Amino acid sequence: MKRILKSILTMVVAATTISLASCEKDNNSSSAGATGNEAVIASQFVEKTVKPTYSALAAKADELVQKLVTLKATPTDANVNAACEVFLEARDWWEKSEAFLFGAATDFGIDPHIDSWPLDVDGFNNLMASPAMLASLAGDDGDVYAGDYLGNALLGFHGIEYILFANGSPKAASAITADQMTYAVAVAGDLRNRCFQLEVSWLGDDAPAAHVEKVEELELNCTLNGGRSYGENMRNAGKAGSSYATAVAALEAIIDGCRTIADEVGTSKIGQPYNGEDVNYIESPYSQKSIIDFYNNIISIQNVYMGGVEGNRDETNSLHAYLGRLNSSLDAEVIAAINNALTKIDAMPKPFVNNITAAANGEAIDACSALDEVLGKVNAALRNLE
Amino acid sequence: MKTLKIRPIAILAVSLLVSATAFVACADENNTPSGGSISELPEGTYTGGELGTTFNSSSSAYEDPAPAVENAGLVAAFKAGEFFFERTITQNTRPFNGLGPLYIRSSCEACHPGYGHGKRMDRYRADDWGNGYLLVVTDDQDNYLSSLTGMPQTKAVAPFKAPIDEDQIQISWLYATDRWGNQFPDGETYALIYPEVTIPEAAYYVPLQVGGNTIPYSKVRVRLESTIGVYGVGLIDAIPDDSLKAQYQKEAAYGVHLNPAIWAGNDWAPSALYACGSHGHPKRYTYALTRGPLQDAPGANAIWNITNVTHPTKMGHYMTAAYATKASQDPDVQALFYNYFPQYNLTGNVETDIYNYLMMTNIPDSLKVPEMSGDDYSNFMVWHRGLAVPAARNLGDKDVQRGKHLFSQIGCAYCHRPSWTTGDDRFHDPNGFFDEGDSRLPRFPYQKIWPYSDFVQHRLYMKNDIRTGWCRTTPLWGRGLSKICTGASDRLHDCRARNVIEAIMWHGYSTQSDAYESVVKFRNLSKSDRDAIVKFIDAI
Repeated sequence: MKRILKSILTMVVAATTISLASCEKDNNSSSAGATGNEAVIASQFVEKTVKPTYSALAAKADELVQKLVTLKATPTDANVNAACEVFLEARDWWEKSEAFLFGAATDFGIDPHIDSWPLDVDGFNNLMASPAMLASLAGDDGDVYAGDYLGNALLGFHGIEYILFANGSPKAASAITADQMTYAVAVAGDLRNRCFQLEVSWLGDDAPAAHVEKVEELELNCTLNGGRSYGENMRNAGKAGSSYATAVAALEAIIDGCRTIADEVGTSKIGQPYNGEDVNYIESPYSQKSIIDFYNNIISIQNVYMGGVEGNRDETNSLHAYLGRLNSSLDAEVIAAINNALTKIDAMPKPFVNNITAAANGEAIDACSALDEVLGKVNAALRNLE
Repeated sequence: MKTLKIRPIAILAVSLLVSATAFVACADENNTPSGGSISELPEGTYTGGELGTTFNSSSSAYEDPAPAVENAGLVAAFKAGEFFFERTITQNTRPFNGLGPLYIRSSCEACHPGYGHGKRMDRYRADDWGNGYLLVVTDDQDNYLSSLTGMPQTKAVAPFKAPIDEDQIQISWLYATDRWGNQFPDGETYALIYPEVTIPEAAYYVPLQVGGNTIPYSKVRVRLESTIGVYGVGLIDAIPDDSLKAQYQKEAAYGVHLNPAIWAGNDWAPSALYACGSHGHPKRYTYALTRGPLQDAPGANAIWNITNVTHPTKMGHYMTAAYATKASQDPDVQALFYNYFPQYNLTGNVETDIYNYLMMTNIPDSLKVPEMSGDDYSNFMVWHRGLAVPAARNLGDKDVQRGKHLFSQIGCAYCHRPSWTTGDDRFHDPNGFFDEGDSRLPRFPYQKIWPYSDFVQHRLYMKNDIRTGWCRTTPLWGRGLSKICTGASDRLHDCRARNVIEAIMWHGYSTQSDAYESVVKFRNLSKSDRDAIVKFIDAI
């Protein structure tokens, strides 16, 4: 309750400040207060944050299939570890994409398809007891069969995680049966297909040809009605045919994506277990990497805000620079809130499942809340430009 | 227990916001709330009233908690309840457990993508994201098959078999041509498509029965009905019963044909009222007008019957006796039942035990544990009741204003009634789980809302029409954001219209349609006027 009141009061201040500034603007453009730079920022978001993230994710998902095929053929602890390493790398990139789940990840149901949890353990056991289904999974089109018939509660990252990890560590090769590996390979194939779908949905023809071919062969949806990629749609914000009426609306959508994940990490991913003390709400229970997941979610926000993925940012055309010109104290607040959330999440005692009610978790929740709130102020400022 | 009270500080804060922005508001046609006072915004902007509107217009626009939720301190409950809508349900893995024995979907959001309307599909698969279709399986007199649940299930958990094998369901999309050759007088054309659904006899695991009696396969008909958005249902619930009655009286006085099952001359027909304790409430939800108070309407029921997750007010299985009989006599099921459900080995007679498990009859109390707790159900209803409606956009735009004027002038607003005012919203719960006006749920008293529906059934006489032909006017609010929120913007009950023009022209397909005269007028408008109406419909 306090948080909402604070946000109302701070919105009063922000709205007052911004309203005064925007009165002078040209009334001819549909975004009365827009500076004209918004389309560049939206474009950069696509080029420097979305594309590298989904490209890396698609590549790692592909590599994961290879590692699992190798492991199935040659079950050794070293091969388990190799698969686990690539699994975690792929997962990192997915979690770093969660600040922009709008678009293909949501529209095509890719998010629930590859990231539903918890796994349906009874469903899994039933599957293992079904020779007919296992035979279909073992076939050449096992990935397609998996995607069409297993249902979201048996697919995606957490299904593979269940096979590879236990109690936070890679399993011994001897602890994994051949049938479990059949399942893992098929599910990883389906995961790869969906990551290709994400990549092609945003990159369009810029995606690797082999990935485009695969997605076409599988007849997976990759465009908005009208045949455009999501990247093209956002680059053309404000022009005819784009689902974004104005470039400012595109920036609002980008910020809204960040707000959604900040709120979800604080309120749900950490908050639900912390407040209800219910361990069943914890997301990555087999690998016990929940805190890394949360951290990467905030990195996702940082990448979006700072103009690109870590190591490849161009801050000149970032939301950070944009807001710096519009309202430098608000920009400073955003940076501080992002850093605070990262610090507080990093301070959570690991693994999360064994430390659910630690006080540090409550601080991390507050930090995520504060980040959500300040991003709300950014959107209020943007809305004023419309 | 929290009492509903809008804290004075919140009122102060909101009025500070209003006065601050009013003071600095610029003369700008495209006002948003942060750029103008509430009273300066075009009428109709607050689609859900001040208590029920969100100004979010991005892809999460259908998912926000209403201000009423925030005011009542229910945001945490809202977020907790939201989980049960969004997550994939599992058989026994907590906290989203309870799937099966038979189910329609494994998650709610799969049917309500982005919390909005279902998407047009070329095939029927329960796991296809955005497939919001229910199968409507009847005889040739529109009677539902009694051997299937009213919303047929196509999925089962081991060792059970699905009532219908969905791999065999065929959806064909066919072209229709109206009396004008699908063309406006100025030459612009449009397409009209509609679905035909066939399910071969071999795909039915259950016998084909109506009222318990076998019918020949040749008499079976299958149609599709799609979900619509879930936002705003709490506001609709807050419309007073008397206001609905006045609407029927008004329409009757105009000579509008009304469904005799709902309106009998000058008062409610008996079947119009949804039983609630010792009295009844007029039905206001679903195409077929089957549900009354929200607390026992589609959401409260679907959280149980789509996934078959039991909760304190719904402890049985969504099931038919015909299916239970068939499954209990199926040697494949008999061979494996005790392996999968050892705790239901109650009599040693596997046929009896299977039947009792499926029908939840003669089950000891120790096994009657709700799969979804009362607290979780309560949180879910906070979320369900508390979803905000996105504010209307660009109402000040001159084309939108022209469209709004024409929308009324040509008669669309007779059925798509623009606004209502809610009452005191001391809601009732037919299940008795919530008290009258229970403070655990958000309320929306005395709000002027803009759903663009009269909540009355009319008939369009479309090709391969909706079952019985009678269809509640679907609310138009928020639909302009469908593309952004769901990735699609298909309209009409079976998603046959790919855009607003197709939806409008289906209203005029038949001269018998209640909307025929309005469509004739629409056709004769200039292109810019037709476009203005479309722009208006997308703005609300």
